[in-house]
Amino acid sequence: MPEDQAHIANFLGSTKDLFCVITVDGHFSYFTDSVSEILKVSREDLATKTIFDLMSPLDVGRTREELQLVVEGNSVTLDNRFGPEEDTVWISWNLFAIDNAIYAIGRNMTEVHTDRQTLEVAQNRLRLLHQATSDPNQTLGEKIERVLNLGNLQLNMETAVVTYMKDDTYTIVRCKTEDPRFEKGKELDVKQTFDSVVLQVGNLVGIQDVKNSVYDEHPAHGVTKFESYIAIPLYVDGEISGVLSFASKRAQPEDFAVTDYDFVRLMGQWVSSSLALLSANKQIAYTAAIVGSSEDAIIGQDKEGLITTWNKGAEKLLQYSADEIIGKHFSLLVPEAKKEVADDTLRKLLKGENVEHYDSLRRKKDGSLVDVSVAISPIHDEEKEIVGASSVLRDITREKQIDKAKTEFVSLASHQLRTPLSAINWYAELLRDGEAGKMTKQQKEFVDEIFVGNQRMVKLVNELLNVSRVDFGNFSIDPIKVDVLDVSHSVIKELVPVITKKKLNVEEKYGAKQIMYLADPNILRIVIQNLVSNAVKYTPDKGKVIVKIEEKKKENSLLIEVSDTGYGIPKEQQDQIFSKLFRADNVLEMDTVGTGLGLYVLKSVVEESGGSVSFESVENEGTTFTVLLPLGGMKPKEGGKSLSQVTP
Amino acid sequence: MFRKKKQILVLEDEMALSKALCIKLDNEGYQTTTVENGEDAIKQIDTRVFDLFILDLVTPRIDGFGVLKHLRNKNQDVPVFVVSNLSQKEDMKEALATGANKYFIKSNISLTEILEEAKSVLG
Repeated sequence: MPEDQAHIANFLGSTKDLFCVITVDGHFSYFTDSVSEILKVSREDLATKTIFDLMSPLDVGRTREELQLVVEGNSVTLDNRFGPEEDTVWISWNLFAIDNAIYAIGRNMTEVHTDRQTLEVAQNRLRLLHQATSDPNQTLGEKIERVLNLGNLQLNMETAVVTYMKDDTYTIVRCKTEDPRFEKGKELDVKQTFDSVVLQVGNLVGIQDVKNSVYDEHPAHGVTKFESYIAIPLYVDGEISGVLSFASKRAQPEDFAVTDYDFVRLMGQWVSSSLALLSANKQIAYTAAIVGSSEDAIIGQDKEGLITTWNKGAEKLLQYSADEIIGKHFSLLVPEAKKEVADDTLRKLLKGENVEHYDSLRRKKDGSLVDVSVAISPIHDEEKEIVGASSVLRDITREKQIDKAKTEFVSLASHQLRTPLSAINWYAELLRDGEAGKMTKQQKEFVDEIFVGNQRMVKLVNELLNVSRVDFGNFSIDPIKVDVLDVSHSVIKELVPVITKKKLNVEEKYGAKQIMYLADPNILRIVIQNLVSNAVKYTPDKGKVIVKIEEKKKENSLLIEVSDTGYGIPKEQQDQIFSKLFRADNVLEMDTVGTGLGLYVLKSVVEESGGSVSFESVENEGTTFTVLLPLGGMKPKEGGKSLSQVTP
Repeated sequence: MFRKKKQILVLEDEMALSKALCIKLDNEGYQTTTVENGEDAIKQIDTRVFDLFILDLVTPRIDGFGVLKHLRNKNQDVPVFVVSNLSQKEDMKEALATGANKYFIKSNISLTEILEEAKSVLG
C-alpha cells in the first residue's frame, strides 16, 4: 500500500464513523474496523455477506432502490437498521458512487433514535391519558376506570387498584382487574400489600421482578403472588390519602423505564385530583339536598342583586319557579315600603358588616304579601371576597297572627276587666261617701275592704297589660321635656297615706330645684313609682326612705336612687329579683301585697330607654336601687302601644 | 229666682256605670241625661243644649270619637270629658285632638274626681 493510502486508511480507521465501499449487489470491497464493531459483525462475515443480509428486512427494499439511485450518479442520504429487533442499531449514511463502486460514510444514530422512540411513547401515553379523561359524557368514576385500564395496557399489567386510607381502614375505591380478590369497597390488610412499601417511602415504587428483589420475602409476595408492581401514593391536601398501584403475576422483562414512572406519576396526580373532586361533589350534592329540601326559602343573589339560586322552599313561599326568577333582580320580591331597608341591608352586608336577622314583608308572584323573617349572610369565594348574599326567608304569617291575637286578647281582656272594676270602684265610693245613706262603722269597714281589694285588682290588670307589652316589645317611648321632680313629688304625694300610717321618714334629696329631662312621662313615672312604692312597702314602721335625683354630668347620666332601711333582699335570691313574678321569701312570709311584676317591667323599660338599673341590699338593713338614664334623654322607641299607669 | 240646673249628657253603654256617675252628679245639683249609644247621643246633641258632655269611647252604632267629631263639626264650644277604659296614648291623643277637653281612664278615676272636674268647668 502506498504511503498516502496507508495514511488515509489509518485516519479512517481511527474515527467512530463507518467507512466502506460496496458493490452494486451489496458486497463489501472495503470496510473500516468501526463497521465490524458498530454493526456487531465479524470481519469474516463482512467479507462473505452482503449489506442486505445484515440489515433489518424492513429496510432492504427501500435501501436497494436508494443504491440504484447512487449508481446512477446521485448522492443520497439514507437511514436504516441493522441487527436483531431487540438490539437494533440505527445508521445514517451518506452515499456516492465512483466507477460503479459505492462509497458509504455512516454514523451510529441509535441513541438519537431511542430517545425519539421514548419521546413518542411518552407522547402517545399523554394522548391516551387525555382521551381517557376528557370524554364529557363519562362520569368521573368511569374516567378513573378508563385510566386504570390504560395503565394496565401501557405498563403490561393486569391489576390496577386505587385505595383510600382513613384511620385504621384501608379500602379499595376503584379497581380494574380480572382478579376476583379485588373489588370496589373491599377492605384490605395494608401490611399484606406492596402498598405498605409505598406508604412507608411516601413516593413512587417500582419492582420489576419481585422474586429477584429485596421484596421476595415481603408478606405481600406470598399473599398476592404478584411478581411485578409499580405504584404511587395519592396526595389530597398535602396528606397521603391512598395509593394508585399496578401489578402483575408476571415479572417485567426489563426495569421500569423513566417514561413508566412519569406515566404513573401523571396518572396518580390525575386520580388524586379526581378523588378530591368526587368527595367535594358529594359534599356539594349533600348540601344541595339540604337546601333543596328545606321548607324555608333559600335564595342566592350576586353583588348586583340578581338572583342566582332558588330552592323548592322559595318556589312554595313566593310562587315563582326557579326558571322564572333566576337572573331577575331581588327587588321584584320586595314591596315598595320595604325596599329601602332591603337595599340598605344588602349594602351593609356587601361591605362586610354584620346584619342581624329581621322581620319584613315579601311580595309573592300573585302580588300578595307575606310576613317573613329574613336571615341574610354573605357568600365568599375562595379568596374570601364577598361575591353575593344568601337569604333564608321563613314564613312567619302564623306567628304574626298569634302575636296579633294575643295582643288583641290582652287588650280586650284588660278593657273588659276594667269596666266591672270601675263599677265596683264607683259603687263602693258612693257607699263610702254616704250617697245611699249613713253606714254603720262595720259596714264602712267592709266597704273599705271591697274598695282596697278592687284597687289591687285594677293595679294588677294594668301591670299585666304592661308586662304583655314589655314581652312583645311593642311599647313606645316618646320622650318630651318634663320636670323629673314634678313626677317624683306626685308619686310621693300619692303614697302619703301609707307613709303617714307607717310613720316613715321620707327624705327628698334633689340636685336642683327643677330637673328638666327628655323622658316619656309614662315610663319615668313607672320607674320612680316602682322604686318609691317598693321602698315604702318593704320598710318597717318608723323606717327611713331617701329619694335622690340629680344630674351626673361626669357620668353623662340622670341618677334616680331610692334607698330604704327595709327588709332587704336575701343574698341567695338577689339574682332573681328582676325575674317576672318573682317575690323574695322574706316578704312572702310577711304577706305583703305585691305582684312580682314591677321590677321586671322597670328593668325592661329602663334598658329600652338606654339606661341601666342596679341595686345593693343587705337583709334587715336595707336596699338601694340605682337607675341611670342617658343624660341626653330616653332613647325613643317606635311601638304603637304605650304603657299603662299603675296606681300605687 | 229659679236657677236652671246645668245640663250634662252622659254617653255610656254600661248602665251600672252611668247610673253611679249620674247619682254622684245629680246629688250635686246637676241634671244628667243618659244615652247608651252614639246615635242617641247625636239625636240629643241636635235637639237640646248641654253644658257638659261626658263620653265613653267604645259605644254601639256610633262610637265616642264619632260623637265628638259631630259635636265639634257643629261648632259647639261645650266642654267634653272622655271617660274611657282605652288607655292607649294614641286614643288619648286622638280624642284630645278631636276636641275633648279632658281624658280620664275609668278604672283609675274616682267619681269624686270627675265631679271636681265638672265643677271646675261648670262652676
